[in-house]
Amino acid sequence: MKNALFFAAAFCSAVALHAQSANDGRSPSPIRYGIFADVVFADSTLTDRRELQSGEADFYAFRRFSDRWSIFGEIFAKHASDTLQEEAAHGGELNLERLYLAYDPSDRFRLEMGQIHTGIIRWNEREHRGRFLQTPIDVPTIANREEQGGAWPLHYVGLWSYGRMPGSLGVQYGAGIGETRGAKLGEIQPPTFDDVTPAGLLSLSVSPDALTGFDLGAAAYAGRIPAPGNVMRERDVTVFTSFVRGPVELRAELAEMRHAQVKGDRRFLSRGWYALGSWRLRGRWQVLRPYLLLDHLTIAPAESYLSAVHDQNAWAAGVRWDARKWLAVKSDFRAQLSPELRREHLVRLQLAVSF
Amino acid sequence: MARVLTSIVLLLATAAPPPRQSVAFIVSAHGHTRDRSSADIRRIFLGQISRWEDGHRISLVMRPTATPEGQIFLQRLIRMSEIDYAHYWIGAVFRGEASSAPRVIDSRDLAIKVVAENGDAIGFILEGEALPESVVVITVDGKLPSDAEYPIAH
Repeated sequence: MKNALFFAAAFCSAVALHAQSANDGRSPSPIRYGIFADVVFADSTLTDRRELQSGEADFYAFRRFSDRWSIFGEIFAKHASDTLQEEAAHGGELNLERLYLAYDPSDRFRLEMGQIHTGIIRWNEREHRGRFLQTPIDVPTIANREEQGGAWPLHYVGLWSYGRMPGSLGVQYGAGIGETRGAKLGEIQPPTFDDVTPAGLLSLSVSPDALTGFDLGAAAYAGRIPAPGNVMRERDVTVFTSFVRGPVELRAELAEMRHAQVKGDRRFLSRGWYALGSWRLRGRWQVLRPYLLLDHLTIAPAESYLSAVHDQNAWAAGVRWDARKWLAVKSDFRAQLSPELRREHLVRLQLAVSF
Repeated sequence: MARVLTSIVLLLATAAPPPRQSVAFIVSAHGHTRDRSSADIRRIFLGQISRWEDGHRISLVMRPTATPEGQIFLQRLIRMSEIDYAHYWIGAVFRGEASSAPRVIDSRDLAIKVVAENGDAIGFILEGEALPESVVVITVDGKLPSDAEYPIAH
């Protein structure tokens, strides 16, 4: 994996250098970079502990080499307490989130090459890892990273093209192809010369001019999971919608994931959804945004590939306070299922910053 | 009786609505466009339309959101709060969709000068004062800012 990342970085650097040398005369932009970070303090009825539950930092950098070529990199670090039961994060983890070279000659066509997001979960496409940007404390369960108990394939190494078509319907398309996910949940496979197992993704959405702030779309992902002795076909479908206008924010997404044995007749269906509603107050209280998040996930029984993922049936009610343009303080009450599927109630506080 | 009538007239006069204010979108006299739909302008200032028809990248010039034109711009066109608009642009850069947020210029005259000197720029100001010949006001949905049906006004 490290070799693959090295080659990916080397490839991106070489193409970027070429792009810079083939500059169209406009000077390249400076490197733009930023960081999102957050910490969550929680008081749980199950653990009977008040603790620092998790801390995350997300560093990204972007540089445009010419009018059409740019490069983007993002690294994600997380520390989680024992109670979160995210084994990968105990003591801290560091992951390459995205690293890609982009070619964007027009709004109708943009191509990204490298390690990118699959786009199967809209929340992940819109918010990425920066919890500062999202209204609630949590990422919905269907948008969890693979390493943190997420079930959906959120990353791959490959190509992704998307664009926005002119017209009053606001049609946006996306199409991608890359290496399918690995035999273990959370494994992002780089394509190799001797073994390529492609995964494909298509998405289509509309945001009509006549209904400012409304968005409706669907995405589909197809791939194979090369589990030894148990290769499975994967077919995922997602439907999403949002309405964000004035003080109102409404978002909802329904995702289905179907796995079927290639040599066998077993089939597994997992399904998840979330709904988020929030309202920015007016006047002197406009820095406050109360919200309600409903979050649900049902994992197919007896699917060994997803054995590390547990069902979820949660709701959270809270408020986001934009204390500064770079600082958000969020607090909520959350009822959820613990990894042992016991009912758990939490009161939490999150500090999220953007620099 | 005369006093009562005078009082009513005075009350009506003081209750009259404030004068209508419009936001004028300006481009260089050598610029690319003379008319745009309000939906297009919203998409331009959200970075969703990032290039002119000839492929040149659009350069966005803004007045501070605390100014009257900034407030009308947010309320009547973008339909977001100042905080949400700032966060939107942080997200757009983070998603790799845009290389930078719009340039905010405190001085009206400087904003006009920047737009005048950049054929790929579009900016906005409060309508009403005379403009140099180096910039032109574009029509929005076929209307000028002085028209009663102009959409970005209040």
